[in-house]
Amino acid sequence: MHVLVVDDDEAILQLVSIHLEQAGYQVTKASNAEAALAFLQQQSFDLMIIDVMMPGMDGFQLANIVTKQYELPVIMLTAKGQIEDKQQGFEQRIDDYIVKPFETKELLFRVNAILRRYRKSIEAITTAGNVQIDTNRWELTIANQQYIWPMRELEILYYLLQRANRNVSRWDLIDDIWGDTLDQPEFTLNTHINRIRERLKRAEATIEIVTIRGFGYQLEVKE
Amino acid sequence: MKLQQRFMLYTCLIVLISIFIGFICSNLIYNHVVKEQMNDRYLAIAEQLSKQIKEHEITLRASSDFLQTMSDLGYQIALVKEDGEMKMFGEPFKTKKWNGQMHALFEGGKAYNGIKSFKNSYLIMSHFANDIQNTVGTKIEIDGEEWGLFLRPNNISFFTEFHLIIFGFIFAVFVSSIIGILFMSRKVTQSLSELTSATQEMANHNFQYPLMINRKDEIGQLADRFRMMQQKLENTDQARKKFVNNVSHDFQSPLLNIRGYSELLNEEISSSEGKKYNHIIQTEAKRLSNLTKQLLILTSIDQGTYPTNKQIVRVDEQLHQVVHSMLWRIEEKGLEIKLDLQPVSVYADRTLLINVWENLIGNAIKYNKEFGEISIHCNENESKAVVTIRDTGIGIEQHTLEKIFERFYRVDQARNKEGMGLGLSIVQEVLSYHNASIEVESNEKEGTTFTTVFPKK
Repeated sequence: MHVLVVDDDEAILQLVSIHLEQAGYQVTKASNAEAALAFLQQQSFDLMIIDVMMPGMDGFQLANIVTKQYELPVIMLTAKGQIEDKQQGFEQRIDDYIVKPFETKELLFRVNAILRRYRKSIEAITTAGNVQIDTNRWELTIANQQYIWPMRELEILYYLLQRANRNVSRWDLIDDIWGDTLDQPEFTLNTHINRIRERLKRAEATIEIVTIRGFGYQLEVKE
Repeated sequence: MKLQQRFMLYTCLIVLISIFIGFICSNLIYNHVVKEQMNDRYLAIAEQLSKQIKEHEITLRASSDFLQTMSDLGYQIALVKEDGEMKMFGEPFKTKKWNGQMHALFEGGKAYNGIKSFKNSYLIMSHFANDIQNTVGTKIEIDGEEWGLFLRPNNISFFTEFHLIIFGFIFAVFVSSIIGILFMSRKVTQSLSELTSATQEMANHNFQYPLMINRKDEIGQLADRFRMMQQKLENTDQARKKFVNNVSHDFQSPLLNIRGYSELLNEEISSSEGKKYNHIIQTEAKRLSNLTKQLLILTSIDQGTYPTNKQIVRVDEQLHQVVHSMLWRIEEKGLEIKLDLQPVSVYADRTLLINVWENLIGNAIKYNKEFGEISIHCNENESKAVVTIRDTGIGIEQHTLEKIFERFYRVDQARNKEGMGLGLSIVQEVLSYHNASIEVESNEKEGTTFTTVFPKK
C-alpha cells in the first residue's frame, strides 16, 4: 500500500510518515500541492493524506483535482474548529477527515478503514428487510434508526447482507474478513455473530442470522 | 469637608432659607389680609367709643379718664383737635406728624384707615411702628367740640405671655432639631466609616471583618449587600485557593513522573523497560497538554474573556462530527452507537459547544463496558432543544452524583489516571454560559444519562 502525504508542516509530515511506515505502509512525502501533483504523474498511489491549510494551492483544491483525475481516496487533515472546511470537504467527495491534534491510533484506524473499503470496491448502499448499510460513511440504519457499529461486526453483517437468503460458509467468511491471522477463528466468529444477533434483536431488525449446522450461516428476512 | 459638618451646614442653611421664605410669606399675608382685618376691627372699636361718648354726653374730663383706662387695656390713643391740640393716653406716639388723610376727618371725612394704608416699608415691621399715622381714626364730639380720636393697639399687647410660650416652643423645636440632625448625621457617618474600614479590610483580603450595622434603611440595605459580597468573595477566594492548589498538584505529579522516568531512561535498561518508561512519559505529557487546554477554556469562561462568537449552530451535525472523530475509540471498545439526531439549531459558540459534546461522548466511551452501547438523541420544539447522551457504563453512585460537576472532582482517584476532573465542570460552565442546563441520572453498573436542555427564545 502506497500513501502520499501532503503537508507544509515538516514536523507533522515526519510524524505521519513514521507512524504509517511502522504500520507497514509505503510513504511518499510532499511539502506542497505542486510537488504532490508531480509525484502523482510519476507513480501510482492507493491513498492520499492532505493538509487543508497550505500556502499556494490549498488542500481542497488539490483534493478536487485528485478525486476527479485519479479516483484516489483522500483523507483531509484539518485544524480544530474548521467545521466549515469539513462540510466543504464532504461536498468535494473527500472520503474522510481527521482533526488535529490526532492520535496515532486514530490515523491508522482511518487509513485502514478507507483502504479496506476501496480494496473491496463495494456498493455504497445495501438493503435487506429494514436494515441498510451505507459503506461510504460506514453507517448502519435499522428501522430508520442510525447506528455505528464496530468495523468488524459491520463487515460481517455487510458480508451476510450481500448474500441474503443464501448459505454462507463460515470458512469463506473468516477468510474474507480476517484473512488467516486468527488464532481461534471459530470461537472469534461465534462471539461476533452472537453479538451481532443481540444488537439486531435490540434494534428490532427484521432480519435474522440463522445457523446452518456444520456449514455456516444464512441471513433471512423475516416476514 | 466631613459629611457631618456638611449636614450641619446644610441644616443651618435650610433653616435660614426657611426663615427668609417664611418672612416673605407672612409679609404677603399681613399686607393683603391681616392688615385690613385689623384696621376694620380697631376702627369698629374707635367708632364704638366715639358713639358712646357722644350718646352719654361724657365730659372731656370723664372722657380722658375713660380713655386712660382703655389705654391701660393695651391701646395707644390720641385725641386731636383741628388746630393741633393733642392729648395722648397710654404710651405716647414717637412720631406725631399729621398727614392729609387725618386732616380730612375735620372736613367731612368719615374715617381714617391708617393701619391699612400705613407704609414706611413693605415689611411686617411697619405694623409695630409707633407712629400716629399708623392708627385708625374717627370723629368724636366731646363737650360740643370736635376731636379726632386715633387709636392703635400698643406693641406690648403683641408680646403677651402666650407669645412668649410660643417663642419658647419654636426655639425648642429649632434647637432640638439641630441636635437631632447632629445625632442622626453622626449615626449615618458612623455606618459609613464602618463600611469604609470594612472595604479597606477587604482590599487586604480579609473577608471576616464584622460589620456592625443593623438598620432597615438604604444604608442597612447597603450593609446587607456588603455582607453578602463579603461572603461571596470569601467563597470565591477559597475556591480560587483550592483551585490553585489542585492545579499545582495536577501539574506537579505528571512533571515529577516525566522527570523520574526520563532519568531512568539514561541508565542501562532493557528495551522493554525502556518502552514502558517511554509510554509513561508520553501519557503524562498528554495529561499535561489536556490539562492546560481545559484550564484555558475554564479560566477564559470564568473571566468572561472568551472571545464570544455566537451563531446558529447545528447541534446534530456537531454530534455527528464528534462521534466521527471518536470512531477509533468506539472501535477499540467494540461499542454500538445509536444515533437519533433530528435537525437541531441553537444560538451558541460552536467551539465551546463542541467541547461539551467531546466531553460527554468521551466520558460515555471511556466509562462504558466493552461491547456496550451509547445512544445519542437530539430534537427540538418551539420552546427548547434537548440533547440526551446515554451510556451502558459503570454508572455513578448516587451520593457522588452532585459532586461530579465540581472542578477537580474525580469519582475514583486511582482508577482514572487520565482524567483531571475538569471535563464535566467545563461542560457545566459552557452550558450555563449558553443559559442551558444539564441533568444527570445514573444507576450503578447500568449506566448514566446526561440530558442537556437549551431554552429557545
